[in-house]
Amino acid sequence: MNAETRLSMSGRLASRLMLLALVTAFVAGLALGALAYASTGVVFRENVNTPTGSTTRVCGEAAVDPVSSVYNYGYTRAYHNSPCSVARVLPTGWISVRVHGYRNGAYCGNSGWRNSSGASATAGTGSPLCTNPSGSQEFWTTQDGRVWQQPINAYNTVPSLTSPHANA
Amino acid sequence: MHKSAILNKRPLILLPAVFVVSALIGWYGMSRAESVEPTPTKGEAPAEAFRPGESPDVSLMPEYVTALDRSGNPVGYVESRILGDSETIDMLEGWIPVYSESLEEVVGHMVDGYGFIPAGGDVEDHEPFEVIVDPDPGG
Repeated sequence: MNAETRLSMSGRLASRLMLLALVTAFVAGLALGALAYASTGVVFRENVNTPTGSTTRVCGEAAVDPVSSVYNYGYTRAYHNSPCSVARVLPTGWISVRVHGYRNGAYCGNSGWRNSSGASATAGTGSPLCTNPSGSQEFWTTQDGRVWQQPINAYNTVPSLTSPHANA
Repeated sequence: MHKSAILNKRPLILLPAVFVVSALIGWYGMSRAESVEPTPTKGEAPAEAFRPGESPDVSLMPEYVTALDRSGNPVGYVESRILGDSETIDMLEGWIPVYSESLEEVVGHMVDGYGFIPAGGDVEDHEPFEVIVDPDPGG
């Protein structure tokens, strides 16, 4: 075997090792991706008149993060405009969020309503509602949102929102 | 009385008997209909019911969804129509009934912020869910 042949063989071996490394990285990336934080992003839900004569665009976000534990996250966000881009600050307690947790299609419970704790455009909460036993599990969060309607002095509940699923 | 007169009145005599027999047949039919009423569906909600970016589709869930306690063990069933209706949960003041395997008995409640509390249990005896205040990992 001459030097040229040996060089060619080592080149082929190197390219095969590189391909193997790429495939391994791709598979690992997929596995990590399945475990990663999964969110809907900000989604428009409903217009609410609050205060009188002024429309607030109520948007929501539902997320689930099974990396460290199973955290069910949710946000209710207020905006001046549609689609959900210029935040609108509302008085303390005017925005509320509640999240529900599901594991493999079974109901784990909910966080209860969490109101915005100061003048804010967002109410957010996160709770480990579901346990994460060994084995393959699939998780979801659903988010409820509501905003205070000053004209009628009551909360207006907007349609709920479902997160993408996350596996663990 | 002439024989022909009696024969003429026979339909009138038979009328109450026909009425009673009809009523019995109707009652039997209704009781049969009640007995074959389908039993409610129960179990885990399928993945298709969870539509990312939309409200959960309760019509794709069983009528009663499996409920888990804080340790992750199945403890009974909650009505899926309630889970899909935030205002109904508020009307129940955050106490969602959890039914037994037969769906005939309330074995506890899924309580806002606490999860499963067995029937007769006191919220004060249970720890609320850990709450991460205003998390924003999504930016």
